[in-house]
Amino acid sequence: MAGVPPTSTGYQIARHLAEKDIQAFLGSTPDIDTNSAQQQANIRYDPDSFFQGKLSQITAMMKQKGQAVRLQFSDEEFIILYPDEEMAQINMSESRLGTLSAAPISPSGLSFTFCDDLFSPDDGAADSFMRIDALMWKTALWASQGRIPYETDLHKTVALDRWPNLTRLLLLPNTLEIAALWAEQPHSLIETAAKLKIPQRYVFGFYSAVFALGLANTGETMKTLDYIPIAADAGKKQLASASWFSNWIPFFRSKNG
Amino acid sequence: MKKDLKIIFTGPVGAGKTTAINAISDTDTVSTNESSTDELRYRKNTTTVAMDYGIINMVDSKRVHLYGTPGQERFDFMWDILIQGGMGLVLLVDNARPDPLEDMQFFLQRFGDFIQRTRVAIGVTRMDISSTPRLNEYQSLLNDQTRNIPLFEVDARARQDVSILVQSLLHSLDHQKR
Repeated sequence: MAGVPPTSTGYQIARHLAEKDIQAFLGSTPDIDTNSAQQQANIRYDPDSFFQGKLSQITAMMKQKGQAVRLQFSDEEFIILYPDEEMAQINMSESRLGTLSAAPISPSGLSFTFCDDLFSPDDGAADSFMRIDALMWKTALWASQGRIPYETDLHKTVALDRWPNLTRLLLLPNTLEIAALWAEQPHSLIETAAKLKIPQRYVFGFYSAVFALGLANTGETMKTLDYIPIAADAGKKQLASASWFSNWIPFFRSKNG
Repeated sequence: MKKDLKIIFTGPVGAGKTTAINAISDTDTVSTNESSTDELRYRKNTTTVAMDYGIINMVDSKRVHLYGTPGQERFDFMWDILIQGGMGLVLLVDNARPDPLEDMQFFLQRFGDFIQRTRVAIGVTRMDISSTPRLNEYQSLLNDQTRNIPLFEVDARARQDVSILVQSLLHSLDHQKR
């Protein structure tokens, strides 16, 4: 939006649309009081009741069997998962996929059959293709809407087993900050939001997405981040520089997307 | 107080270091290119012999200086010069080379001392040309590292990809245990 004044109608509309896009994935629930059982209940959901859970189960079976699988939603709407290519062929619009992912799915709402792997991205002109991990990530965000799976302990520390392939996944606000924090130092969900001074739903949504990819580690078994002591003068220099990273990273983000 | 940052881009010949710096720099980049020798010419016409240099301009006149090392080992004396004062390393690995996993191991070892003092982020390029090895194979090798290293598929021509890679490095530095 370079050169567009922040007060212009165009800017306001663009900002409104961006916020609506974010809300579709992260909801609008305000921060909760962790002492309130009711508020704690409001931020939980059951992934298995949504397409997210079905996709996770079917993908696991697909990997075990090593065969492509066709997920049928209706006579005309389907998704084919290809294990060798790790790709999904999607025969519906993005908005329809979002609608299907955001609402609980009935047992009769989805069937699946294993099929031959005839992956050919050029043939399905009307279909879109997405990496399976990107599909799992996105469907988890749509289902979560800033909530966390039922069994999640809000106060247990979370670490990343490894970084998600974030250049090929939907990036939402503060995704990189949360990932870096959990890669470097495990924090609980509540601590994470407080430390980064961001809405809790951003943390909850990110947790739900990495949980869907099996990368969220709450087992205290993350890598021991052995801190290598460095020379005193070098350490002083490093600390001084690191202290202002936080100040300019937002500017970097706004400049580079 | 004005305080600048220095980030180093490294990796084998043809991994996209010059392209990545061009993609993200706010200024025209400075490159020291020479015509490739015969064994390299099948991959690219020119190669970096000293360094590439670009800048990201921040607010308040702060700047991030981006330095790219030469890829060829015969210029490795430049590597030690360029990392001086550096705050972190971006390692680009070309997935279309004969043994990219070995390339990654080589550079992680070669810059090991520097990485221990700072942080590294790894971008795997040219996965559109060669889809294997997959990222999980790189991840398996990184399990031996004591740290959780950002590793992404990257198109060095895409500003967004390079930006995410650099941001992951900067956020890792910001949250590193002290």
